[in-house]
Amino acid sequence: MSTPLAALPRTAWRAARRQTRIDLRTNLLTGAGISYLITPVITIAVMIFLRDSTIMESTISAAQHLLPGMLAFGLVIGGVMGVASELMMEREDGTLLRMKAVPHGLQGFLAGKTLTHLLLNLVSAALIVIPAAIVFPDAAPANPASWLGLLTIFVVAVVVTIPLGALLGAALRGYGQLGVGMLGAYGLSVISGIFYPLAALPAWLQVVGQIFPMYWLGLGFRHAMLPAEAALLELGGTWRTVEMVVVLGIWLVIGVVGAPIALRKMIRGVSGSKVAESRERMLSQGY
Amino acid sequence: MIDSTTTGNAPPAIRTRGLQMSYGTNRVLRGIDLEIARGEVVVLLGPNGAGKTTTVEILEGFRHPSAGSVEVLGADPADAGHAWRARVGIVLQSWRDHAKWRVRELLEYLGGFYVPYSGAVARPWPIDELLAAVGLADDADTPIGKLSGGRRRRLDVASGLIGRPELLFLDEPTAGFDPQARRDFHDLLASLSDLETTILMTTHDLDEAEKVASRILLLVDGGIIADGSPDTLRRQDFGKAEVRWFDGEQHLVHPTDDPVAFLRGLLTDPEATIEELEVRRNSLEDVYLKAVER
Repeated sequence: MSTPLAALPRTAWRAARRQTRIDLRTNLLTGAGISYLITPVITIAVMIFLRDSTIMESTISAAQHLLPGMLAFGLVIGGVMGVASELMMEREDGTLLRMKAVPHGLQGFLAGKTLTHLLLNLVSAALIVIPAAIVFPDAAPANPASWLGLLTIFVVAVVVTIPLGALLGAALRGYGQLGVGMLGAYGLSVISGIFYPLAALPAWLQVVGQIFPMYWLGLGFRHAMLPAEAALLELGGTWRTVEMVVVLGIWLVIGVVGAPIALRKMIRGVSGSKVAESRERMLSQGY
Repeated sequence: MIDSTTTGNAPPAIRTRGLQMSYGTNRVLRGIDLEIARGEVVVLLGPNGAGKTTTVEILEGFRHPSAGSVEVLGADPADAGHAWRARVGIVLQSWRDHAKWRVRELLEYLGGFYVPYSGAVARPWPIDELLAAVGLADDADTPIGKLSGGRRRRLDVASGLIGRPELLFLDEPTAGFDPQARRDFHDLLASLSDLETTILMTTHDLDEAEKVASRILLLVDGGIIADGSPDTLRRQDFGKAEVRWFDGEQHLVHPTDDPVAFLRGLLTDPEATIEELEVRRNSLEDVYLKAVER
């Protein structure tokens, strides 16, 4: 917010950790926690189904190829759309207003939110990677270096997606727009090489897919987890690390610069009468 | 709570001069001059749409006035810092935030932010004392989403009080309360004012205003049209009176600013038939009801 995170008083930081603890408990250790098992179950099921097929006459199995893509997909959905929808809800239900009324409340709240999502993403990634590695030892990173690569691209994914989620959540007006965004994110997975190499798509769709971070994060995860010869399946037959760093870097800047501006603008507009309006709308229209 | 160093010539808790608010061509507040001393319990009374919420949101620092000056606890709320925020409490009308958190968890979490602002006044308010004060002692471990509407409002009050504010804002706090909850709430306010907390509350309920206020401000159409203690206002002359009588054929009503002069004229007419003569002065209730009807 207006003060950088470094200037967060120790007490607000302590409150942020308390918030994270409570939110992790209410997210993971209640009925809602089941939803964190959906993506892992689907991923493993599809991998079992695909275990005997290979991708484009290579030695890479379709199951092996799918795992990194699903990780990227899950992190983008969770990091961008998850954070965006939560922020939208918290704007309408009075959470943000409550925090605005407390000294350093919003900074503490946003710090807690970032920490919560970092850990939630770690949990959902682990829930996919660990069972997959047990069922398909081939699909798991082969050596410590490649585990380290996996951890690196995970951190990159979280750092890129959470600010973008905050930016989107602050910019979206209403649940209609959120729904469109959600559809867009799922649609994007089709043209981002998540389920099948991008080379299989028409050229113009390849270009569209390469604009967004989902493709580049998927590429990064495949680079970290797949054997070297898998690079031949990618566009240009290489991992294109430089291009990946450049595109993800641009998205990182968009998020890190844009999110505080959008959040500040959104938070200025939060007031008791706005929350009351949302409540009226919800009670009369149901959304 | 009044700081001992400032009791001598304590500055007012709230002071506004020529406060105006317009949305486009719609003037919501038309120049409000207001001074509220520390320790007062002031009720801003007015019909819906009179500008109560706008006034309170400006004083809370959540809205910027179009014109005029505002000073709350010695600072302009629009750019007052965190230390100022720590001295101000706001009772929100929440409805479903933090549904899975337990009551105690939310209060401990919010209270944590006030720890650095502890001084002559110990902040935050100890949770168990606070829960007892608002009548939520038995619900400390209840998930917030499971509280009934009335209990949820008690939690709203508790979270407005957790930092032991010197000044407390409540915007329509009893909307949706049943009579018992309303009575409990008024008792709670009385106990707070004993602690010298300055309270500014809005309501559109005249009875409620008369019960809790040490001073009532009647806000109608963006202007304050009456200001005083409930007793003063009840006795106050609100201009026009009505003279009613029956002239043998029909009932007549004559509104006038000077009923005495009118009656002199009326009664000296030897030809006039005057039965059932009645003079009614406008009361606060009349003024208020007329404002509400509009």
